[in-house]
Amino acid sequence: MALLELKDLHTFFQTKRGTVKAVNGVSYSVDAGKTLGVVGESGSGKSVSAMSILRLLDSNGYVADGEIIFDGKNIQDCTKKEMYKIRGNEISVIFQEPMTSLNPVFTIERQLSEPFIIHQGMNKKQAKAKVIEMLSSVKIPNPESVAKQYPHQLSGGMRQRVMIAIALACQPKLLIADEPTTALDVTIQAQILKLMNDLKKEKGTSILFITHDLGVINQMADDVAVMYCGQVVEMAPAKKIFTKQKYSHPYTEGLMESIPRLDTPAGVRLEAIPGAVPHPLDLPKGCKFAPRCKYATDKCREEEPTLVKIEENHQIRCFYPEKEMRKDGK
Amino acid sequence: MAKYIAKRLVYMVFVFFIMSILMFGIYKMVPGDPARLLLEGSKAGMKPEVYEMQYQQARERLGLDKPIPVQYAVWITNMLKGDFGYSSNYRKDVIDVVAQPLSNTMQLNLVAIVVVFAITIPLGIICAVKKRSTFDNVVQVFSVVGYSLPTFIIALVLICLLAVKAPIFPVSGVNSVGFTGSALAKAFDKLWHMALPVLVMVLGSIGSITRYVRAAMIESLSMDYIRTARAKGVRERAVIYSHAFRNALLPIVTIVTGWIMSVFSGSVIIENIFLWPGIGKILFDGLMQQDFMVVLAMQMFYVIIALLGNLIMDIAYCMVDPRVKLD
Amino acid sequence: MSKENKAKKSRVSILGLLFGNRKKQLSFLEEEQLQSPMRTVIKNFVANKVAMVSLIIFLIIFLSVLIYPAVNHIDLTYQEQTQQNVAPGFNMMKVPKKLQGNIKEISVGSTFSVGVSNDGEVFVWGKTKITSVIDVKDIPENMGKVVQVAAGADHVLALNDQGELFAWGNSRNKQCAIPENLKTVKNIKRIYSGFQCSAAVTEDGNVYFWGNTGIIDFKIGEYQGQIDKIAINSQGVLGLTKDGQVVSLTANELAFSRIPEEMGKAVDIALTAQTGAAVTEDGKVYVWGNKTKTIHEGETLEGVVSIEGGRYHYTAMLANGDVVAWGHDDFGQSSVPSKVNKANVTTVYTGYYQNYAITDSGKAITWGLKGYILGTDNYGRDVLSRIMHGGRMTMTIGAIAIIISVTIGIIIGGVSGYFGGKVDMILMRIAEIVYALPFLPFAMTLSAIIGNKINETQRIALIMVILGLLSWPGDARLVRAQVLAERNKEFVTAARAVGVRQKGIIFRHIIPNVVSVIIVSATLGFASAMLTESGLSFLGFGVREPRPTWGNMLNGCQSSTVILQYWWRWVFPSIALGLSTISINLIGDGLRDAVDPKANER
Repeated sequence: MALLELKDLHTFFQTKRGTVKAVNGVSYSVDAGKTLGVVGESGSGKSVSAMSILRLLDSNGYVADGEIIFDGKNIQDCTKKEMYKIRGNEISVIFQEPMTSLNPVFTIERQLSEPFIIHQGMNKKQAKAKVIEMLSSVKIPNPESVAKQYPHQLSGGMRQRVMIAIALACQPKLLIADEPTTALDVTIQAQILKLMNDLKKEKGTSILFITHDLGVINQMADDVAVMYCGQVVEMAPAKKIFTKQKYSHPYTEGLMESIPRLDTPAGVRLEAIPGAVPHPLDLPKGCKFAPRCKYATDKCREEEPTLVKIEENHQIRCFYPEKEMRKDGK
Repeated sequence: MAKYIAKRLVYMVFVFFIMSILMFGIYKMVPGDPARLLLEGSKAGMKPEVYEMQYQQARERLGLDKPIPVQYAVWITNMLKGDFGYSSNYRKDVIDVVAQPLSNTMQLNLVAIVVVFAITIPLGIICAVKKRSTFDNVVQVFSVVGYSLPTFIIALVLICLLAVKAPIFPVSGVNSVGFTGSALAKAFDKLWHMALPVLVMVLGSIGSITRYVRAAMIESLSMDYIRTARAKGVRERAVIYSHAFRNALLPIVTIVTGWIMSVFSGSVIIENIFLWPGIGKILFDGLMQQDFMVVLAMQMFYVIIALLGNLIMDIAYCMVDPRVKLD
Repeated sequence: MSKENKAKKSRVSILGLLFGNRKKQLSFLEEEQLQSPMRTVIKNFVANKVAMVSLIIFLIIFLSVLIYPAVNHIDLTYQEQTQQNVAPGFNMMKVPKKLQGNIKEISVGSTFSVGVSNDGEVFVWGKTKITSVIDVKDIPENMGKVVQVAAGADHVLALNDQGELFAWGNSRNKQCAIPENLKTVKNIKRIYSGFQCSAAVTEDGNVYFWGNTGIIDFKIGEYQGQIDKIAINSQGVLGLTKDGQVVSLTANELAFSRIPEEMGKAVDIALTAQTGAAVTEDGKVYVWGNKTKTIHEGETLEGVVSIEGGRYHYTAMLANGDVVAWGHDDFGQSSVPSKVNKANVTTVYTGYYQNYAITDSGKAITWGLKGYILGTDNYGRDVLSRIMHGGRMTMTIGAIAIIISVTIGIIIGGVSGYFGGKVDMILMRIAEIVYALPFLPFAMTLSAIIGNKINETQRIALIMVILGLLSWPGDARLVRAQVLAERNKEFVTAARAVGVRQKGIIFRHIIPNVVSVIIVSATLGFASAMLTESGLSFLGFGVREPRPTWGNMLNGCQSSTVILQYWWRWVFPSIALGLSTISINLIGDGLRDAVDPKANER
């Protein structure tokens, strides 16, 4: 059974220039104990869809349509009080920027003990013990002294471990990881990912893993949703995405071709997707990817394709899902 | 932190001496000879040679026969010993002239400062939280008007409304003339007299302080760690008053110290309009009467206030921001 | 392929990479990215309604205070005791409708006029409020049929057909206290009201005088019983005997008490503030006393029948019915409208700065002082003119102070940020000290001590310098921060690594940023410099009387009398100052939002 299910979610932002449709009809689900990877370029709506789940959008953002079902409850119907109980307790988040995501004027202990005090009704002393325990569980050396330190005294990797500790403090059912390793060095990145995988196995937490890095997805995810311009363009188990398939979305194909692989012969140029993500206020007619798609036809530029189930567990938003059927510059 | 404060203290002492030299230099630019001024009254019935003798004696007594650096050294030593000189206008020691006004000014300004804080901090926070709402916009408009108008215009309007048209508050003085009654009743009478000047100071300051608090809060509310706090399930109230406000305090501390100093120097105008016998009034009268020893003492007092303000700011910085300690 | 060609091609492709292929029409978003930063700032600013309205208001004020003083010169020594504390408005010569066409006689007071109709009804119009309780409009009841009226500076006399005398208005100097011995006299020929005094001339040539004898030392002596008519001004009395001799009826020597002897027989006399005039039998005018400007012009006239005197001008009627006026013309009191001489004028009434010409149909044609749009102050000076001249002074001081402070700020901030190290430390410590100086007391002390040695122009310069010297630390810090920020930017580091000279690159990138920051800070600083100058002048340590600034105009306005009764004296300068500073601050805010749109989102 799905722990989290997004059904046709639309999240819009009201700006001076008009409505930005950041998430425009997104559906995906995260199964209990599994990891769903959401991939896409910046501005594709992946982070916004995640913040919609926690109802932590900026003041000008709102969910215009669709449902978010978490653990059988519709999040949209929850009261403010119920949301306070969900945030940090049932659903936690790890953010991208470990340097700024911790409050600079509070000690690590103060910040890490907050979830225990808020959600588990502990007093400060009890919370302190749990803080030390959490810090060591995220493999922080000298947890006692780190607890007394301020964020600016820690390195980026250490801060991200603290963030993970905060997120996992109350053993949430769902962990949203919003590009948790993007700002980190590659070696630290690997350590953090390993830590997350270990903790997931240990505690059975489901993870919604948001990234633009397909390599990371390959390492972490069970299922993958590829997003483009506020829509899911392809959804499949990770295995299917990362193995040569009969069917795929041209965008996914482009993403795959743009990552260097061990089996890429030397001297072969990596293919980049030409152009840039269109501005959310200036979206093209028809298929949103058409202007950058080398297979685009007149039909693509006029009509918008829907998400079609091609085979079991595999959905694609394209008129020509079969690779063999596509030809350059049709 | 102790080391940091000690460093600042040394610096402050240095600044104090620089300022005292500056002030003394300005004082020395005063036209006229204080010794002749002292003898002005008794000059008429005196023989020229007696006058000349007395004049030389006065010069000696005032130390004017010594070179200027020595004069400065004598003056600053006396200052540090608590001897601020002799007021030619009041015919008594400056310290006696200044003591009561000092306390009057302190009372007036402290009441005003407390009231301003009590209003502006909550108001600024509410405006930041509800930014761009009607409430916020209305407050913004009033705050622009408030900090754009000089205090004397606000004072004139308030006197017109609250003392002349509707005679609720007295226009001037510290206590009612010939007031008798218990100490408590006298204190209330004083507060009643304080009402208008305090109101003027408050209205003049609310605008800018509210704007600063609002800006600092908006800045701090837009930070990533606020999102983290919310994601942890921290109640909105705690997010605002604990997480965001602690961070907003940093810029607030900076401008508030500057503001407190400006309250002290700005009270010159207020004290003059409302005839409040504070140091501003004493400074004003001193300048008018050419009683320069009093002026000099007042200037040094303002310098001390400014330096103390800076010290308080430094200490507040250390307390508010853990990062400062490393400097 | 030549080398040159190759270079060209590579440049094209670099550009292509940077901007993509822009064959399509530019969308609005792309257009915005292409605009120069300055144009974006201007566009943002123009879109900000509040800031634009403020800009327009400020420009109106700015242009007014720039143009008005250039056109209307101010006489700093000007004072006019008869025009003190006049309320705003233009009704000084607004003859009531009921009286128009039915005028028997008009008498001109300082700021009001009194008229009597052919039916004997008395009317008072103009600025009639003398104090909070005294209003000359409160005409006594039961006066019967009034035949004569006389208006003074602050009181009115009336005579009815029974020979009874009435007086009302301000009687602080007993100008309304009709003498006991006059009350029984029934043959009053003519009544007169002057400045705080009154007089009456009887048929048998006697003069009665009462009121403020401290100002006018009335002395008639041997001429009692011979007087035909008299003329009164604020200093003295002139008499005309029945046999045509002009005599001074004042004990002390005055400018106009030396009456020319060769004049011959006079038929009419008049007084201005400083001169006397007489019309002789042969229709000539003689003027004597402190002759200023054009006051003697009337001496060339011929065929003059009668003469009337204002404060600084004369009006005469000629035998052919023409009206001629000469003397000062600052309120148009000597500019007789052409329609006066087209109409059939029977009489002219002149006093102070007002003139009424009565036509044969009993209507009044008026010229001269109608009133003051914003009233006058306690010296009788026009508030509007002082606001305009004061505004120019306040704005000039503010602007120059800001230029001084910005210049120092840019130099010190630039040097400090550019050189860093010890220089930076020392300069910033100095900035800190200057910043810590208690502004107002320090400026007061400097102004009081140095200001005593110098003249007024130097004083004004001194105030500008003080304001400028005390307010640069803020600008210096801003500039320093900008320089440091630019220095540490990656492209500068990169450029340095490549070997581009650091100086060039820093200044090329810093200047646009600094300019915008400085413009914002200078705008806001301008407002606060104006406020500080006003505060100093308000206390008497800035620009001093009689030179006006918005600050010193409010000096002395905190008494409850001024606040309530003479509200125009503080309300209008306050509005001018407040409106200017509010609009400047709003413009500054708008500029900041335009330069840094991120701040706008907050």
